[in-house]
Amino acid sequence: MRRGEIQIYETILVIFFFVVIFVFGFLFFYKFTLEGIRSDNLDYEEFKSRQLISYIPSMYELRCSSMLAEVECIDLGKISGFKKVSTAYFDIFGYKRVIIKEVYPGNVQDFVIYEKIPVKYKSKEVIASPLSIYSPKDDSYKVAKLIIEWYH
Amino acid sequence: MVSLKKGQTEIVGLVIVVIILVILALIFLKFYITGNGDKDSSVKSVQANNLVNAIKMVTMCNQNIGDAIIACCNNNDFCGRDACRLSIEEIKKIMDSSSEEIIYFEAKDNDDLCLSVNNDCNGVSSSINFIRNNDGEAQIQVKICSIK
Repeated sequence: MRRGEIQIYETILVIFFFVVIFVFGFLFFYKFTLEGIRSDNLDYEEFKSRQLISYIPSMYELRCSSMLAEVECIDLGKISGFKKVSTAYFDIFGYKRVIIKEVYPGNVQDFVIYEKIPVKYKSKEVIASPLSIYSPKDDSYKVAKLIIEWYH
Repeated sequence: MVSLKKGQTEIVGLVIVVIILVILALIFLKFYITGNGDKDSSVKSVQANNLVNAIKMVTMCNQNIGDAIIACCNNNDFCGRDACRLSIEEIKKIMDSSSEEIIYFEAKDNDDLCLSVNNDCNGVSSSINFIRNNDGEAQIQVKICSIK
């Protein structure tokens, strides 16, 4: 081969390796960007789920009220009514299961106030918080656990 | 092939070491920045406030635990029993049943500790809640310490 031909082959090889490196770099960049977006989305969903712990007890649809005064607790008398219309809250709750589990003074009882489970999901996270509940049956305040299960 | 001189080889080695160090620093920075300490403490703060609110409202002997705590701070009986002992028993039951974490509870009357459950710790605190009735008043607070 002449010197000119060698230089042409050398140029082709350099361009080929450059293209290969560029394609690999682009693929890595694409993959990392995609993972970043997914991670941000997951963080946002997690943030929304965490917010529900303080949002649900303050919902007018569920919270206790007496003589126009708001009390920081959930009225068990309002739960059955809320359950009937809970599907309309998908925009706020999304794919979650919200349970109020009575834990004190006993009489352990579960109230599922919202349930929308996706057909397919990778994992389930659970966030819980204590909560005051009012039982109109015996006019007493009890302690419950607000359990939020979210699916992703 | 162009053979590198000794000085050039050392420079290439140095550049590789620097690149590796920068990559390691970036990886460390990523994990350091994206730690979930803030997220956990914000959730614990909400949990602590919800718990202290739930405790003070619980019905006991047609009154609430808040009345029992005030009776304890005034060295009175409640429900025919020693108010402090009764309050400690019931608050312990509430904390054990509603959380998997070790929780410290305290009640103060004008900065004098009159009731506490579990040992004090450096956990996430609730805000101070004031309870009052005709017999007096008290301030209650909980701290979420750690997982049991």
